[in-house]
Amino acid sequence: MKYTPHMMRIEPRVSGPVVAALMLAVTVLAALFAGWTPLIFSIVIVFLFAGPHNWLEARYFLTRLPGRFGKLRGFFLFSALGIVALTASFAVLPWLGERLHWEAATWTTALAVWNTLLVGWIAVLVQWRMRQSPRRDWGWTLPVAFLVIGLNWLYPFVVSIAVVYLHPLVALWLLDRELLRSRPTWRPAYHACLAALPLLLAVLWWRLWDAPPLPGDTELFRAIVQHAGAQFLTGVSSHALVATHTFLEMVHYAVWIIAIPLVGLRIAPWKLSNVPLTKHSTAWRRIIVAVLVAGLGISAVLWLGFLADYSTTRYIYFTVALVHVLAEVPFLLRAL
Amino acid sequence: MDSPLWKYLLLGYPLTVLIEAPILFFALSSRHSWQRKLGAGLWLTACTYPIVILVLPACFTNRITYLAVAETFAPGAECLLFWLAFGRHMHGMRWQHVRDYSAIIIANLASFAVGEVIGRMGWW
Repeated sequence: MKYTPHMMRIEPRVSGPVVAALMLAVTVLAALFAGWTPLIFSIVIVFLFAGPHNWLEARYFLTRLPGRFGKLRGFFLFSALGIVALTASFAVLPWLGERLHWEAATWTTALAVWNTLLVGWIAVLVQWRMRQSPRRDWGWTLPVAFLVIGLNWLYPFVVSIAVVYLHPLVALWLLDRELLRSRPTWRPAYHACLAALPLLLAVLWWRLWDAPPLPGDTELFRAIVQHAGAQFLTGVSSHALVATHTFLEMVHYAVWIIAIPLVGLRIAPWKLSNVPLTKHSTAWRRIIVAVLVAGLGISAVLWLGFLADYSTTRYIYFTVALVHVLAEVPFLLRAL
Repeated sequence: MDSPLWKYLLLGYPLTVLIEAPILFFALSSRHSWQRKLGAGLWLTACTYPIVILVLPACFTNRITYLAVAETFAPGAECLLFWLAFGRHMHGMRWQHVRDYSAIIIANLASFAVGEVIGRMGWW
């Protein structure tokens, strides 16, 4: 039998159905808690998992970065520039609006411009990816992107809310690609789990769409309710909206903390043997180690921040967390 | 869903395709297959129409300025998209490129003219 490096990996002694059952249990519990007490559940899961899931996500992205960029240099450079520019501009918008005393119409225009840049950035990355080998026939994505940009100018807040609700689902797509790549036999069980998602969402909405609104008597509660888009989706109970968002957020955390490390990393996350860039040079290895150690430090600071002033830390976190929302785009495209 | 722009989008797109697609079908150079010519009629308008109908009116309140920008943007962007998608990888005589881009410009002018007539007659 030929010896391959693949055999050196520590293979988890679990089967697809076991992982699927675990994920399903987490998903059902998440739906239960999100429906029962969405505000408390939101506060708890963001406190516990926001930092660790970002760290594991960064660790996974490092695994998927090529050792030498070669022809992909432009793609990754444009991705990085977009992530930095979009996050920075998003963070600056509230400050700018306050300083320049923007009225509601100016706010709407600013948001529409930002959304246009976001969709444009994604569209360029998609076009870039479709021209890489093997070539893909994704020409249809361009009219869709232009249509989204157009509709965004009519309803800019809809695009923002769509990002909030759709972002947790990107992790599920990435997980599917990871399973296809390294554990195709687990996919049927995973797809069965995915089928439970719309079912649980339907149950949440059936039970909660006309539930009494959640209390907005504290700044924190108001922030959580607004984050779920309650000020725009006025026809639906804020209880249903926060429950939906919190449920999807928990699924997102579970994918990044349990499933993707198990499927995509397959070694302990502190071991760097599966990070191609570490083999490039000692300098790169040091940079990677520094990035990961800094990430652990940021997670610890985040916990301290949550303990000291939960509301402010949560606000800062969700502004800066746009980095990981955007970073998922190029890596998902690379996985397709 | 109460914006009149929806009407322009939902009715205007098929109408624009009805005007532009036949022009592109017959006027694009013969190096393109008939499927591509037909596809270009649908695809190019699908790309630029939402911007012309939904984005530019929000940016320009003066109608003359809007028309000038929109009717420059649409053919310009469509020529660029056509070149990116098909033109730059195709070998051909220079006149074939000129013919392709002229076809796109003429198709846009035709749909603009029909739109203006419909607007002035009060049919819209």
